[in-house]
Amino acid sequence: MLSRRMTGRIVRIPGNDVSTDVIAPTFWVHRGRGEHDLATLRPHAFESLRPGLDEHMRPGDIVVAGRNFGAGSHREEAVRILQVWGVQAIIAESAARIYFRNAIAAGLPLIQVENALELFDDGDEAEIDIDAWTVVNRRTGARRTVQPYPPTILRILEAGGIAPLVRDRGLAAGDGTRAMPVRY
Amino acid sequence: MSVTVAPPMTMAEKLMARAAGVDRVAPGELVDCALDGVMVFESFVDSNERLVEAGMPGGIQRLWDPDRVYAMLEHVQPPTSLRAAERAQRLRRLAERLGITHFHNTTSGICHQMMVDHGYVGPGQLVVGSDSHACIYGALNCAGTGIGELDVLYAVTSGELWFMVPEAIRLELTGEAPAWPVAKDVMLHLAGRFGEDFALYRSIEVGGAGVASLSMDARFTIADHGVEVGAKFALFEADETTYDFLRTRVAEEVLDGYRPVAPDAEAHYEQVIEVDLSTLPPQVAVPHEFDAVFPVGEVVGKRIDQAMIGSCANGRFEDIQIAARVLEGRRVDPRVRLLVSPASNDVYRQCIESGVATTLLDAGAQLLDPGCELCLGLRGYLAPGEVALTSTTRNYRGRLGSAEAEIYLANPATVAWSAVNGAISDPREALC
Repeated sequence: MLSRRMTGRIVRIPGNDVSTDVIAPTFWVHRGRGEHDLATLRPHAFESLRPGLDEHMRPGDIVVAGRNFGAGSHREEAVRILQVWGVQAIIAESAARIYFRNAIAAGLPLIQVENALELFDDGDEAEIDIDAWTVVNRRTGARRTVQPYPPTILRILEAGGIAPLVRDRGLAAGDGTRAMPVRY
Repeated sequence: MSVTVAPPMTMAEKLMARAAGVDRVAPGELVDCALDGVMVFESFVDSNERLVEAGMPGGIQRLWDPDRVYAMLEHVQPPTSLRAAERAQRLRRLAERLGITHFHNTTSGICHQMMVDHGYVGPGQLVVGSDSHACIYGALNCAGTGIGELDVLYAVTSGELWFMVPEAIRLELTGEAPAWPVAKDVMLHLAGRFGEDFALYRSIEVGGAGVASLSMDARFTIADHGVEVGAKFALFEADETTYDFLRTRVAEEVLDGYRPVAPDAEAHYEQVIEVDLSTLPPQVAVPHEFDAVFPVGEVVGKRIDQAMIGSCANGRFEDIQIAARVLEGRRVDPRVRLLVSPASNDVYRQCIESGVATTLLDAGAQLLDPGCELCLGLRGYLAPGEVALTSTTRNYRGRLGSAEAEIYLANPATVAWSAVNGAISDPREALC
C-alpha cells in the first residue's frame, strides 16, 4: 500500500502550532450527518487559516506545514479530511504526537523535515523517496535527507494502516484464540 | 565477570521498560508495551467502523480484556443531535455485544474524571485513552497518553501498543502553593516561557519540595495540560496525597497491588525547569495560542462577554469551590454569562452538598451538567467578536463557535473575579 516514491504538488499550510481545531473545527465535525460524511466538514477544513482550500486541493497533493502541526485534540477527522482530498503525504517541520500517530495509523505518511516551510513554495513539485529517505523540491533542486521510519511504523504503513493490520492478523476475530503473536 | 549496573532511569523509562517486559529502555527506542487499560467513549464506534471498512463486515468480534476496556457515554451526553443519539445507541450496542464490564451509560462526567473517580487508573500503570487529555493520569503516577480511534482498535484487540521512549524534562516545583489555583498558572507560564511545543514527544516529570503543597485536583490540572505543551506523559510520583485519593476509590487489595515508580537520582533530563509556586502571579493566555501568555496584570481591564469554569483541566471541586469563595456575597456583572460545568457527577454532588452550588446560583452563575461540551465548543458558543475568559483546556481559534471570537485562558479564581468585574481582573484582589 505504501508508495515508495511519491511526487506531488505542494500545498503550503503556513505557520506553526496549526491545531486540529483549525484543521477540523469542532462545530463542523459534529455537524456531520452520517458516519461516512466528511462532506459537511470539507469546505470548512483549515477555513480560518486558508479559506477556499477545498476548491484548491487535488488528489496526489503533498501538504507542507510548520512546527507542531496538528496540535490539540485527538480527532481523527483532522487526518481523514486530508485523505478525502487525496493527499498522499504530509511534510511537516514537526507534528503533534497524537497527530503523527493518527496519520501513521491511517496509512498516511507524515515525514518530519527541518525548515520544511522554507524548502517549498505553494505549487512546487515535491518528491519523497521512502527507500533513499530523501525529500526533494523538483523546481529548486533542494534536497533534504530525512530520518528513516523505524520498522514498526513502516509495517503499519505497508499494511495500509492499523485497520487492515488488525484485520490481517485476526486480532479482532471471534474464534476465541489470540490469533497472532502481538508484535507490530 | 563484570556486573552490569542498570543505568539510572526516569519515571517514563521505568514505566515503558516494565510495560515492554525489558530491563531497560533508552529515549528514541520503539517498544511494544502491554497496556493496563484503555478508555473509550462515543468515538469507539468509529474504531469499529474503520474495521468494517477494512473488510470485516461484523466489526470487532472480541476484546483483549473486557474488564480493562472502560467505555462511557460522555462527550455528548445527553445527545444534542440526532447524529449524537445514533452514535450513543451504537456504542451501547457495541459495549453489550463485546461484554464490556465497565460501561457507563447514564451517569455523566468527563471521561478522564470518570476514570479517576471510579478508580480505573493507578500508580505504575500504562493506560491510554482516545482523547488527548489522557495524559492527566500522570497525576496518579500512571503513564497515560492520548491516542486516536485507529490506535484504539489495535489497543483493545491486542492489549498492546507501540511507543517511542521519550526524553524527559524535569519540572522542579519549589515554594508553597498560594491561595488561588496556581496549577493552571504553572502550565500557562511554561508555555509562555518555552513555547507550546517545548515538551513535544517528551515526558514531563514533576518533582521538588513544592509538590507536597499541591492537592490531587491541582496535580490533575498540571498533568492534564501536558498535552497543551506537546508532552506524551506528565508524571508525578505517588505520595500520601495520591494514596489518600485512591484509598477512597479502590479496595485495599487493589491499592496493595499498585507498583508506583520514582525516578532514579541520576536519571537523565534533557532540561530541568524550576518554578517557584509562591511567587508565580496568575497568568492569562490571550488569543489564539496556548503560549501567548502574560501575567494577569498586563491584560486587566479587557471586557469579557462569557466566563467559563469546567473541563478536565479545571472543573474539579477545588476549582469550583475557589470560584464560589470569590463570588460569595457578590454578583456576576449582568453583561457577563458565567457558565460552570462540574467535571463529573461526583464533583457535581460535592458542589451541591457543600453549598457551593447555591453560592454560584446566588451570584448569578449558570450551572451546567457535567461533561466535555463546554470546553469542546458544543455548548456556550461564541458569536463573532465576543470575548470569553475560561478555565477550560484550549484557546485555539474557532474552538468555541466563531473563528472571529476571542478566547482567553486563566485559572478559575481569575475567571470568577473577572466575571464579577465584567473584565479581566487580578484574583488576588479578592483572595489575598
